[in-house]
Amino acid sequence: MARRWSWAVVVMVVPAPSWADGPAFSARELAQRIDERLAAAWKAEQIQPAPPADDYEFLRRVYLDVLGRVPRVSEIYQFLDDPAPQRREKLIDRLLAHPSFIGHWSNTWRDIILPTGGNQQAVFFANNLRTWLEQQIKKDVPFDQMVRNLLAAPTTLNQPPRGQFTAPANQVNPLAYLQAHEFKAENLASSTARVFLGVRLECAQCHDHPFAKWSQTNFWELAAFFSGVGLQNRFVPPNQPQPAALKNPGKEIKIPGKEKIVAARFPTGELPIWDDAKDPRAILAEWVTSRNNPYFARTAANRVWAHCFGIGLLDPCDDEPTEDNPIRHPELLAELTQQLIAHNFDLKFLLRAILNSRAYQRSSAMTHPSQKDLQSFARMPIRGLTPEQLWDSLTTAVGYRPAPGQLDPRLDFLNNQSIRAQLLARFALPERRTETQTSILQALALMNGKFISDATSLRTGELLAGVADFPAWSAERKLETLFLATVSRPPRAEERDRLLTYVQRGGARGDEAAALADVFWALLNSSEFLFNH
Amino acid sequence: MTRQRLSRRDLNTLAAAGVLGYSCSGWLEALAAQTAHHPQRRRACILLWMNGGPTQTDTFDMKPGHANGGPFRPIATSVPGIQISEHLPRLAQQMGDVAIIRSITSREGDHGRGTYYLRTGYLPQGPIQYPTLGSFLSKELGAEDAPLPNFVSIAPFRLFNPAAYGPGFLGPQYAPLLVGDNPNFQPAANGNVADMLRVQDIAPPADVTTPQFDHRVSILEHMERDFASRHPGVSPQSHRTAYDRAVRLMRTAARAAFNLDEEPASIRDGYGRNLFGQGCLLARRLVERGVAFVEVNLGSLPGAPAGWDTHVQNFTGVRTLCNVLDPAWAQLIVDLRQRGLLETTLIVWMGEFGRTPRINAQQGRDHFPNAWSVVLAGGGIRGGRVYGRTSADAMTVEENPVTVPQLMATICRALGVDHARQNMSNVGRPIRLADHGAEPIAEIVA
Repeated sequence: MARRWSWAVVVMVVPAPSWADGPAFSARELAQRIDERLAAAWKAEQIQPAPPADDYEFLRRVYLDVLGRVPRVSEIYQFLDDPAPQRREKLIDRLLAHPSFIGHWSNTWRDIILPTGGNQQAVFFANNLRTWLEQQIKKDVPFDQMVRNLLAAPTTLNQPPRGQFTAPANQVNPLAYLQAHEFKAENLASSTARVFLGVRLECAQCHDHPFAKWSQTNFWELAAFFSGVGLQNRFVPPNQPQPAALKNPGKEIKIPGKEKIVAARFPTGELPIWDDAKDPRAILAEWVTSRNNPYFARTAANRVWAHCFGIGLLDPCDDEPTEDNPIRHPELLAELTQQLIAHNFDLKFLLRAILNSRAYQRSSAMTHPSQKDLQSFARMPIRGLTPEQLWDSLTTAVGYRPAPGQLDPRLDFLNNQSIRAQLLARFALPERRTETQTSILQALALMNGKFISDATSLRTGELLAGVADFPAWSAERKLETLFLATVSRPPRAEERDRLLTYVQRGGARGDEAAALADVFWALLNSSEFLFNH
Repeated sequence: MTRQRLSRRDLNTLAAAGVLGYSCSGWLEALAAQTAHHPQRRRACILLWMNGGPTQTDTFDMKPGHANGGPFRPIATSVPGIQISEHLPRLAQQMGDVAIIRSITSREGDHGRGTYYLRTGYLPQGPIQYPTLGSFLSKELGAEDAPLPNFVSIAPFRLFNPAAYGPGFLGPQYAPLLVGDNPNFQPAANGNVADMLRVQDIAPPADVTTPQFDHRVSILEHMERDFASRHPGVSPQSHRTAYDRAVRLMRTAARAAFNLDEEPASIRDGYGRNLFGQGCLLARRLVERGVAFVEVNLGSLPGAPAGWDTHVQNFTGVRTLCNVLDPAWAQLIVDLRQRGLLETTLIVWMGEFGRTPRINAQQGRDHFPNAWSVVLAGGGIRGGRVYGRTSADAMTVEENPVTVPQLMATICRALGVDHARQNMSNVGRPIRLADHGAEPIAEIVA
């Protein structure tokens, strides 16, 4: 490719960020605008949207997306007892204020910021980072502030205070982000670009990007801001190459294998204005999270959208639009971006608006061929669960409680022999949640593994045994309860008749309770339970 | 039926797939469509993975008379002119079906990177998740309706680089069935080897009867049909495929492959009563039943705790390892030949790199990617040959250097697979089985 553009050229063609100053809508107003924009697009493209999701379908989905688990049977009844108008809006408010939201939202951002690929060491750092994220999210720190705290975290945080020999125990700080990237400027630069700007610069690390506009110099100019990290960090292992000595750490970097020293520069081509009171990373972080940086807010808004639909308006979320892969509904993403800025990077606001839209509350069942394209958002895509959503949903559905004296397996993430670790070892985070694949080992683990076997045993399954033994309930009521606990809806008439006959005849063993266990087993293994839809 | 619908629908996608910079949307669908067009399986591959980086100077590229050569003596083999280590006497008798490449060269002397390179054919590169060779080769060689999984991994040691053991962008459908999984660094206990080699969770709990299980599955099938009819798409379809295959595996008579007790004691003894030996026996039993790719790991052993990573006491360690390796490998060749399967089964012996010719102060050898050996045997290979040559001190390749992508291309060719075939990757870029520009070594492929 002969011609290479610089980022400066690209940013100039992006409309001047005056839209960042538009009016701030309420969540309800924004929800309405989302639906208006999608409706206009469907009309133009002759797409027939799917009907609204019924209460059960909506309830299950919003629990999975906000709390990270399916609803309990009691929570389903509680919701249905609310008066119908506005009960969905009220539920969304209730869930966003629920303590479990903080946990699920922390997991979500941990997976975005530090994807682990199942690597044990990366998992360790990611969980350290999660503790910090949880604290930030609990305090409602705006997203831009949180990213600044992350990117500019002083490397001295883990070091003992002057005159002491040990660092304070249980420090909560974001240093795991630097550790996970081995304190290397190039790793931090590519992560920053990918995660927060939606730009993949990695390939430009070693050579000019083969099919995008980034040059190797662009990459190292960005990396230069991080060049002081390795020097500040006292714990570079002795067998690792020590970072090259630099006259101005954080302001320049040496490209490995070349003699060239590159000065720090924003990818837009602007030169930073240094302030000796500030770490160069803080100056970079201010630029990254600036309201005028068109990449930052857009990437964040797109990620919130992707959280709710499994796929972004721009997909994947960490890459730039191209001619072949443009932003879908660009005016919608622009509006979400603008509203995120107008609401001072309050991600929860955006989440609330999207959850309240009719688009989010549409059925996932396909009713017309025109709904096939997931990015038309004419129906809700089917999404795989994260390993944590799976575990939390399983434990909720089966009424699992850790044995007395046993550590809650959720807190026991370092123990790779725990029942949770053994099950989840089979389930990595899917790269694309709308294209989740299942392996034979996963199927075997769910069909025959210890967790499901215990849960579907009449001796050990908490919920199953309770339901099966409840004397006052009819077989029909028991069947309904098992359905509600797993797939969050009562059986349809046809299912009810067929399965009731099976249960009342006692299934393969001539025993009603055992037949209920069979149904429960099938429900737990079903796509309907194992996917968010 | 579903599969055919997918194929038609994705023809356009496929046509676009050759274009650089093509969107990643739907790459798994594109893959599914490619798979549907596959010819039936022709050949099988058994990978003997030498964890830690096996020494070449004490095995297949002896340097007698040079200080770097060490104390081991070369012995003659069944092929005149080819000598290998005295600690591989049984394999020496099978040399007619074995080709040695003595000139592998790479720059990756780190366990994690080397493991990734040799097991995927690519260097770790940003966000692209390359599949391990078992995944991409079983995708080419396997049949979707086979009773057993197409890729079985026996006692893998994944700590050096877990990503080098996974299906990467091909997705969980191409993940291996693991047996004898050993996630922690524990030397294999010799006692209960046959039990370790069984598939986990292959049977329902004892208190669930077979008719009851069958009822459960039919209730589930009903639910799946119902759900999939309302929610067509890749994810529910993949769920169904995996469950179908898992249930098939539970029910198939071929599952008996995992029951090593069926083998006569003399055969079991012949392979060696240890995890690697019995793993090779299992590999043979799986290949006999149509499994396309099986890998068996040889690493840590009592007496060689670091496996092939012999920085310390190299010669004691290598002797111990060879005592396990030699009988198993030789017996595997003999057994496959006897059953008429050797012609269609390629056996690959390799690790992540070689070891320094120079012997260090602890009587050990360190990491050495510059010039080392890989051995190919059986199907698709011209046996009784040596390719490439290192210098007298073993420090450099003097003739016919072979890169890792070239090795991958050679493995593909020996298996009758087009090494230039492309798979759509997770970053929306098509990726060749063997990296661009690599060609098979014509001299050793049949």
